[in-house]
Amino acid sequence: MRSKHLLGYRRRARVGVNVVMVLIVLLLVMPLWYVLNNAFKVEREILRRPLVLLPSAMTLDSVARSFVAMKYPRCFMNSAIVLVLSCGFLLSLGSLAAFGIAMANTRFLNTVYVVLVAMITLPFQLAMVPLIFLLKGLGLINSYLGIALVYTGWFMPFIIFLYTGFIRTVPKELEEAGRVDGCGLLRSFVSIYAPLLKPITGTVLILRGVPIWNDLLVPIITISRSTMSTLPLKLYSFIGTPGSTAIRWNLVFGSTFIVSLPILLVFLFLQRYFVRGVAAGAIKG
Amino acid sequence: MVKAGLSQIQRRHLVCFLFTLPALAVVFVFFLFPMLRALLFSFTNWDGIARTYQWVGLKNFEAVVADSVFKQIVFNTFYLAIIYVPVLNVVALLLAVGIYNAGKAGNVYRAMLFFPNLLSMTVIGMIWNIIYRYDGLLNQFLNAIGLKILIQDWLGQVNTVLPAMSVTIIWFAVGYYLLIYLAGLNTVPVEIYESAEVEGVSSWQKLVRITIPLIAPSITINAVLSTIGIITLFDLPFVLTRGGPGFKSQTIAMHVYAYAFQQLRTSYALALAVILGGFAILITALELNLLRRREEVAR
Amino acid sequence: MKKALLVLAILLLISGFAFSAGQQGGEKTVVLTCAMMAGDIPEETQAFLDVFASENPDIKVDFTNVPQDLEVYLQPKAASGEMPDFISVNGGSFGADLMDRGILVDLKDTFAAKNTIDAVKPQFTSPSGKLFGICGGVSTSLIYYQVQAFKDLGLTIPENWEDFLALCEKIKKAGKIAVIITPGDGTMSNTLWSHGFANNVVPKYPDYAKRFREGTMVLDTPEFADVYAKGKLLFDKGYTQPGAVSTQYMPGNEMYIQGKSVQHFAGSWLAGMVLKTDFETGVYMPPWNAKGVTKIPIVATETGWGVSEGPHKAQAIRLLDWINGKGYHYYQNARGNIPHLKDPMGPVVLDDRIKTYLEKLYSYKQTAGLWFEYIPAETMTLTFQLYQEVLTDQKTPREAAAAFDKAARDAVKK
Repeated sequence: MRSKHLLGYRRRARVGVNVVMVLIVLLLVMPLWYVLNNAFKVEREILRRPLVLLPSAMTLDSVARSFVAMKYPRCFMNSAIVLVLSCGFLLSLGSLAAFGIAMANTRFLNTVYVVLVAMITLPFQLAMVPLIFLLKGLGLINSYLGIALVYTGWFMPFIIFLYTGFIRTVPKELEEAGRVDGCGLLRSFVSIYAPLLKPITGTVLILRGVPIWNDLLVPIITISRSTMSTLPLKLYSFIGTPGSTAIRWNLVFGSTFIVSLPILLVFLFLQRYFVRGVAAGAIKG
Repeated sequence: MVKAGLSQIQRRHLVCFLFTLPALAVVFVFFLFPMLRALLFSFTNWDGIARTYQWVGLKNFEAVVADSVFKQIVFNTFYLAIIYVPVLNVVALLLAVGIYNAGKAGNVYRAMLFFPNLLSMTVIGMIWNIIYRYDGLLNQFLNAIGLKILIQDWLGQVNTVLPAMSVTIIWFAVGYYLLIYLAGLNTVPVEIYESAEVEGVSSWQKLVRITIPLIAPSITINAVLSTIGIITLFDLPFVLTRGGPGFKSQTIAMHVYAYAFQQLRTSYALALAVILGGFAILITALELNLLRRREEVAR
Repeated sequence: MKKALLVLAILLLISGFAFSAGQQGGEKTVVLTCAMMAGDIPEETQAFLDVFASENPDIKVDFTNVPQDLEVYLQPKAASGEMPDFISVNGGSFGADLMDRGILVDLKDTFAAKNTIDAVKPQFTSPSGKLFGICGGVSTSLIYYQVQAFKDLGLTIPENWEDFLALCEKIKKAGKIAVIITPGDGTMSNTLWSHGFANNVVPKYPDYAKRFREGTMVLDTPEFADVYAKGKLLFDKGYTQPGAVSTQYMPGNEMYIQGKSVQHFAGSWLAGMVLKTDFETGVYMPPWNAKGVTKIPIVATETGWGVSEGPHKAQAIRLLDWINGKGYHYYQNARGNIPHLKDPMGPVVLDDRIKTYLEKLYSYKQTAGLWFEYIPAETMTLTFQLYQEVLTDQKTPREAAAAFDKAARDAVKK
């Protein structure tokens, strides 16, 4: 029952919105274009004409040299292993714990839950210094397991918060039906609930996966061997802080490009899940 | 069927508790325990390397609060929070509305606006340092469009450094927060907007009277998350300004690091970290209280 | 899809464990962890370390480049006992501290120490008399200038502060930038701060290093305040580049190399880079002295190397002896800095302009060191942060002096 007038108004409004959005997006993305641009420029040309890339000034040299100088494959693998281990722990232990909390609904466990949620607000700096000693004592410096456990401990409260909220929205009947069929709690978790957790698991993976991949603070305090270095750490030791970079701008931009590329690609392919994930996290909140 | 000593319900509760144990163990050992130790050490004079230390009560806290930079860093942290949180949320909300109304192209915008959020802090600091330099992109741009009068040393002046830093942080975070707002927007039934249009309600009124009250939960989450985020943020300000000029952009989180690794005063670092933690909990509780109440009203 | 991911995850995990197991590796080869500050020569450093490794097949070198904040990088590692085997270390209190805690090795009897000139050993000696590091070169800071610009404007080398100001005024009137300073990060301490301190404070307190260690250094004085005031003067009068407050080390260097400024106040370790400009560049001694008073120039050390106590210290010492012996020329040629060795054992690349400058430098009886060699570690970031505050009018020079004075005393009281 829409009048033509309304449709026309809609169309004009839509065009207007799009124009504004395009401008804003271009402005926002411009710094990234700048990096992309310079990663493929001949060294001489790098600080001139920031936004333009002439075919005559293009080269793959910066990217190639950065790739070698950073020992990229090794770092990439380190980052990947840390990510998989951390997420593995967080997802498995977190969902299990959330299940326990949601199912039991005892005062004790509910209090534990509240304490956990409160812990989300605590800054990492507070644990940083004693953590170094702890890891050293346990022999977990320079080990994948050590880093993964730090991330697990740090992000677990948030994970449990998300999972518990989600599980609480699942009707109790499901579990009761399972019990009637002879499912113990563990079986019902594995067979009934785990599959249901897929959407929230996607959320979790993205919400914590990205910060873990890009994190600098934990690797700085746990890794001293360059063979164990993760990508962000390698980039940092390569680039340093902006003022101390060598005039090796080609290496700076080249390395920035190859470090940022994987996650941008993953995002482009898994966009749908990202959005759904954040959305699910938000609504449930 | 009933085991001797434990009723079926009690057994269930025990099993549930066992389920939580592995996770709780990791959290305790690798997060809570170090934090408690930090809390404990903040009352001693442990210097981070030596094997022995003594109890000094509140001396560290007194010293930290009496430090001439304390007022500055607390001010900076709160100033940053007060600019950042509202501006970020307004921008994110407007962009979300824009994407919502943009039709098919909205997905492209949404994706591209999220790119900054995928970058590592080192990269962001490097890029924005190049932008803000006196001979950097921003000033070149201003020069090109004839706004020469606005050319200045963005990161080197006391009145522009914090706003400049906020812009960078917003650039980084907006893509994420607008996704949450989009989710909220998608929960609003389209019919409400349609009937509003038929009645000739203006866009502005649509936004304020309809949208905002209906997405109140999203606003709450974003407000709380962004507040915690900015208060504990360390890497980005550090890489961008190192706290300068002087201490004008030094936040509490940065100063914990400075105490620990530049001034080698571990006990001060821990005391300040405890203070930071206290602030975080307090502010979050206040915000939640305030916003949850408005959520109720909105409903 | 999920299965594929699971398989991938398991594969990654397995390869991960395999790799880390492999790292513990052969008992025959020692993996030497090497954390060096090589931001300007990362590729060259990797290259010469590879040469060392090829000459020493029982050693594998694991090189990590450390960005400028050396102390900040090492401190947590020192705290947890995870020091790299071979490190870059600055002369000064941080290294001395680590030495006396038994974290570093006393290098007194090494070949490297015996091959190093004595003048650069005190800065690397701890209060208990142990040598905790070998310096990486002799360093000083000086003023690079465009020779042609001086000729065009009829300028002569200034010999004191007033003449320097007059010179800058002439350059400014000609519409050019007179001098580049870098208060954006700690590198300005190598130039403005150290020369100010050398000329204003050292004459009255020649035992300054000892005083700093004991906490009896007097800094709340007009002379020390003037160290900050001089820089502020340059800034207020517009002799420095616009946007100076946030200008950092490398951007400042780039500016001079691109010819944007007539003079550049920087370190001798940059000579390799700065003297390669398209235009002719000369060097002269910074005239921070008053008229009629002799200059006190800087003769100091560059970031050097140290060895950590640990199972690999023998191999680390071999690397140390190599870098300060047979392998020195690889490092020196890459940097173009001033050698500290009695016998460089290889071709030394040193610009003639620097050679001439050195002759003049060594003729001075009284010299001073660079800031990091004598101020307490806790005050190291304060030097330039106070400076930024003075430039932006948050503190007066005297207030800055008082703040630094307090911090220096507090550091020792601790």
